[in-house]
Amino acid sequence: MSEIDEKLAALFAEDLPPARDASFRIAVLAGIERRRVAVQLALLTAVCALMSLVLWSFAPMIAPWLIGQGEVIAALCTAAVLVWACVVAVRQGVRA
Amino acid sequence: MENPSGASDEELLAAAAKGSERAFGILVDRHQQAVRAFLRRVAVNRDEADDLAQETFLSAWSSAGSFRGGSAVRSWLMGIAWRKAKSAARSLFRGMARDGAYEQRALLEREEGAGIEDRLSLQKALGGLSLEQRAAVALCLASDFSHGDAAEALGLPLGTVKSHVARGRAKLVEALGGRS
Repeated sequence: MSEIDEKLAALFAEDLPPARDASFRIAVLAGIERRRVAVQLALLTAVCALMSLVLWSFAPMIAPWLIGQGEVIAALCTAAVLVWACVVAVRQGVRA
Repeated sequence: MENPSGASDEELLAAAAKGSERAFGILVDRHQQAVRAFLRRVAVNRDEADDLAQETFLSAWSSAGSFRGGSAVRSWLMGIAWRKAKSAARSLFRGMARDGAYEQRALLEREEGAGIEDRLSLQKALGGLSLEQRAAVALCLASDFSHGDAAEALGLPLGTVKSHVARGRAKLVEALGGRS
């Protein structure tokens, strides 16, 4: 290697980023997480939109049944929310 | 994967393709320096280069499953980095004069000493090369890539890479006051 090539190599070597850079690694992994959340959000939005469309399409057929079974549905929903709240509370208690 | 730190790049990439962020993190640790150095030489502006490097790794994560093992993982990453740099080329060139001056000021503020003039001359000469020349020089002269590996990473014919490296080197040597 000639002297000028050595000089060039030395100058290039002086300007290297650090061999280990935790902040860069964290920034990349955070970007991956952001992308994953964005994809999940888009998927969830699409599913919600589809469900809304289906419900809206079938509303004339479902509505009379819903009105007739209103009290039962309300009771079921209340029970479901209570069970969910209990499960969450127990899980948090276990974690604590 | 029991011990990802000792795994090969190919094994880490395969694990990343299956969703292992830990394996991908190790891959980032191994290659971030080379990818960032390459992009800093191609893009001139450090911040812009580091943004492109992050995008490079994000693309690598998304397309990890498409790696077929025909080349080294580092060459594959450099190929992605090069395509990112080319896509951003318009804005890179627009900001190059401004950023070149900014980087020179930053360099002067960061460091002092005998080598500073050579560093400035090198940076200026790099800024005067075409994007492809800069990329070929960055890989072959600064990152020890063979001409063949560089040609594969840049998607250019071997002869073109050799010519870019020779012309680029001559300009850099001239800027440093030497004779090629």
